[in-house]
Amino acid sequence: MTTATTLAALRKGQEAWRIEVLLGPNMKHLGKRDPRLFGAASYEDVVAEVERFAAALGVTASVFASDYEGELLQRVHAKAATADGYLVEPGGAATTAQGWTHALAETKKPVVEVNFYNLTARGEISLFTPSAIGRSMGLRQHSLVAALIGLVLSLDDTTFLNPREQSPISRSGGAPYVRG
Amino acid sequence: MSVVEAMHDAHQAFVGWAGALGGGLRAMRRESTNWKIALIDGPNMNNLGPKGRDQRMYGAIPSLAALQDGLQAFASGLGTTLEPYHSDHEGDILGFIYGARMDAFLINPAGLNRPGAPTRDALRDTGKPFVELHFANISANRAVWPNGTVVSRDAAGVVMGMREYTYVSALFGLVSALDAGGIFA
Repeated sequence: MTTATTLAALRKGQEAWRIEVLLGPNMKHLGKRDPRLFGAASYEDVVAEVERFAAALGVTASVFASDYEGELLQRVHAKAATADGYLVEPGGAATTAQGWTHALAETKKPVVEVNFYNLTARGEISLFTPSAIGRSMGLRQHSLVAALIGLVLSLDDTTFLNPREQSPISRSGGAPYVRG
Repeated sequence: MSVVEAMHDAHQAFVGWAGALGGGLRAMRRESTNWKIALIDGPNMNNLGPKGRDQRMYGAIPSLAALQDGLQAFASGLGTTLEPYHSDHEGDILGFIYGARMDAFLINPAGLNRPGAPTRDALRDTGKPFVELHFANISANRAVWPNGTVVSRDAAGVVMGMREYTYVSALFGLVSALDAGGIFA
């Protein structure tokens, strides 16, 4: 038995979730960006790492990167019917986007926001956070891989993000719980 | 089955699942260093469970002990060492941090989200990276946490919103970052 088969078999569920990974403005130029914030890994390295973990977990992760917000929101619409969840690294759009965040919210699918560096430490307030189920930031590309694992495990859980079975504490619609 | 038996079974199931998953993820690591990582849960987290904290926020995890045992098993499976700690008293948490000999820290500040500046300072002064955790997306309510907690600005990272899987996800991310070396310089 291969390692990949072993890891996938250890999940609580076996569904091959389709995860859309969206990388915003500047992120496809990874490798040429400030290494103190983004590290030395190239865009191709990061895509390969995401695909390595997706394959081992038994899910599909499709990476789409663009410097144009319009293309990113079009991608959301194009995949809305088939995606089970989104991992979104907004890049430079974190503090400026509007159409992209609305497109994500309208899918009613869970979104985990990913940020390679700790935006909060730099006083940047992301417009993606309020409608995201969760956030993973500060660990460069490891934040993205960690978020992939977290999202898959959460989708496997029928009391949390799993769309097939509802429970009174389920959040399968993707909206974060806000304490009243 | 009594409530107590069901809780026990859920505890054992979570620990078994987490330990096995850690073992499966071990082969995905780039290095094999046995990192020593502390997991600190702040005030009120001992109230996790079906009769305690709001399950719409915290999910179905049966207890703090289950969470701690599960994460310890997950860390062990990964080939690392996790030392869990909880207190309702910030002074105790400071004592734990100063006494700890760790490579890194994970912390859910919980009831220290707002008043936890001393905890943040103690963590920062260790010179070791720490990752902040929350079961829920605390920034979903802009009015309360527009820009993180008092701890966030000195954290290497923040992971939140995926209930107990936040902890699993963050621990793996932290171990991967430690394996990569140099990220926290």
